[in-house]
Amino acid sequence: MKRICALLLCLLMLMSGVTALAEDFHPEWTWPEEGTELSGEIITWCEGDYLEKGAADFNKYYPNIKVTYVNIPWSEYWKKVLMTLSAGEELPDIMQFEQGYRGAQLAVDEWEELTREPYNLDVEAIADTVLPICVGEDGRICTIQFDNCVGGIAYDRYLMKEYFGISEPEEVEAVFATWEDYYEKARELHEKSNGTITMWTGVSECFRAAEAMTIKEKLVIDNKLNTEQIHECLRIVQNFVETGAVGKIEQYSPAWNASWSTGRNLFYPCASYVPSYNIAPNDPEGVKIGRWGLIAGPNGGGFVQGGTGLAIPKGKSEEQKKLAWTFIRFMCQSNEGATSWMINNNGVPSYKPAYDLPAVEVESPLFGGQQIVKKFVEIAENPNTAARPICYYDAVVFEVLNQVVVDLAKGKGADETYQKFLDELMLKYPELTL
Amino acid sequence: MSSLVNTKLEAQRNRPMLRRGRMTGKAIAPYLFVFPWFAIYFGFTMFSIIYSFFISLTEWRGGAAEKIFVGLNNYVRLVQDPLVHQTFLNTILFMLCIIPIQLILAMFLALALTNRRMIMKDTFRLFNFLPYLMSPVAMGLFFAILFEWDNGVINQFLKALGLIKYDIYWLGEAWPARWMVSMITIWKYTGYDAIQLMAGINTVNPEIGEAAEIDGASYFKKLWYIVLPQLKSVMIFVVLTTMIGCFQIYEEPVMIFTGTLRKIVGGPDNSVYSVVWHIMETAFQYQRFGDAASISFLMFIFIAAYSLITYRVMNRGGDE
Repeated sequence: MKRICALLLCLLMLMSGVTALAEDFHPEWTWPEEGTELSGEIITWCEGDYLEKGAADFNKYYPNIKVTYVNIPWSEYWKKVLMTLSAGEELPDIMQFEQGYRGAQLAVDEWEELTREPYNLDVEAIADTVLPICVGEDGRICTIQFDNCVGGIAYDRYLMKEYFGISEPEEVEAVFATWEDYYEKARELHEKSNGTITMWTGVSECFRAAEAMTIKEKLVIDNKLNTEQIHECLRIVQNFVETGAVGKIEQYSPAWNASWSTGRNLFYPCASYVPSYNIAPNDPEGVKIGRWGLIAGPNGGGFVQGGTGLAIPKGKSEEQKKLAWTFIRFMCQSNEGATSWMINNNGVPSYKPAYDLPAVEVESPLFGGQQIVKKFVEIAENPNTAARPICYYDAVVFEVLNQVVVDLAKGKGADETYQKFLDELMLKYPELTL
Repeated sequence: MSSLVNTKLEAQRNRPMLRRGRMTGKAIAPYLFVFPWFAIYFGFTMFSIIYSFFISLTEWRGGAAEKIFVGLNNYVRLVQDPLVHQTFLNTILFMLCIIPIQLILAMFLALALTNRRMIMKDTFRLFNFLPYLMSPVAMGLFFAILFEWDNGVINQFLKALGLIKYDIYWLGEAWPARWMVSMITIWKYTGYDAIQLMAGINTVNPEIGEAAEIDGASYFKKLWYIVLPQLKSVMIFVVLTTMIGCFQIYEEPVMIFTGTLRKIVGGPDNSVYSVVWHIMETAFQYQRFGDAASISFLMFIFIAAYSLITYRVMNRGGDE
């Protein structure tokens, strides 16, 4: 009896050793597997139903994989992840990284490297405007965005017609070709409307447009601030404030949400998620009247802002990794997922080959039938559009900017505001140098 | 005398007994009853405090990162950090803005809600306490609308009263932002303080007041010479808890300034950057957990010292 027990114990130890080894070395997965062969449940933490809506078709192809979306606001997200990691608790199968915090998130070595076996992420298939914001500062790719958050400028067609006599995107792009054109028209708008109509809802919105269009380089390189581009952006905001056509509404405030439907503001910076995420819920009337139009920014280019990257935490079981990667691959590396994203969310996928699909030509009733996905793709392919590579300090740089940019609304100059920005940033990160 | 001896014998008989060095079931029972509380207290409170102190002596970026022992370096560096000074100064300013107004309003409410002639007392008591129960998200939305720069309700109201000519930029200027956070805090916690004071007022013997009334004392004289002196201990408690509450201000400014995608950490010119907010940012934004734990302990020392001084000042000559 003793011998049998000892034998069983040895076998058990051997088996657990083999299992541990198996988890260290990924077996070759066979791709693609038949959807019906895969089954199980994966959990992801996400904000709102942005991904869930866009991934609506996933279960058509993989009916036996249940995806559970746990809603966590972005403002709490990273805090929750760090708390979970510090407590040694388990993370969900799929993580989501919002662009603003991604630099710091990727600096934590807790995520699977997606370009390696068995994932073999196809880097060539990722849009050029998406790739720079998926690469960590160490050069590894541990997250991949499903959306290409390229952006242009959304305008109110009715206001445009009323004050400038034009409404079609091509005409508007021709008139608003440079920042100088914008300043001139802003003065005109202010005079004609007696200050009742604004070009931007407030300084924060104006700053968002200016920074998106001008800040294209990494913010901190080897602890040295590369922020002259921020100075330039603050000058643009100051010029707009001086025209009198900048309102007093804080971006993302209740008044800002309401502003989409009041017909009192002409322009909004519009990344590809804005139509479904901000405009549609705040302007139900807009769908009926086709209130909006989409144009490229000054000089024909656009910007890259926001976007959600998906990642797989290390330490998950082989089976869970496989299910998680199946979902990520569907959303980020397949025509089916890209189509689901375009049709269900009017979003632009990060998967480059999908730009030739007919779904790109989907018409948006909110934009008066304009093919906005196609327009976003066109903006993305413009040589003046570039994504700012991410860095560890991104989130805090923009937090400080949000803090100081309000000074421009109080009549302070760009130079003074820029100096204050530098002082504040150095206070929070003394290790940074100029 | 014999009854006293009998009682002692009875008590001895009922006392948990140790027989031959082993505890009987009856002897163990009390320890079993108190064990869950002690287990939870040591597991979740004492352990956390001791572990936090250990973290405060390290450099740690959180997660699986290595904890590097640095001794008291974090403390030495942080007591010289201007941002830490700013957060402590903000907290003191909050106390100066909040405590007097909140206390006067709470006292007024407590007196009104304990007055015999007051009608619908229970309904008003409920309304009085409702702000304390309101969810932070709803509160954030509610106050964001009230304090909007352009067409906000508060600005419109102040303009209608002729108190201001131009709209106040509540979210963009230091002092308006401080007052805004103070007003939200006062609105939320006044009802809670009023409950404490009401409990104190109800313990005042009504016969003393009636006797004073017969002697011709007015309402205010009774309040000044009878009610307030007897409320001293409750007042000390309310002031101390409000003061500690001011040190822990976090939710109110955070929901206003970071409730949306546009985060303004610290508010304009860091004017509403509280100590707890700085702790949270240091830990979860800058990922400097050692520093965050050190600031927590600095705050603990500051609160303890401040509370002691306040207690001594308020309780002068009170123990006789």
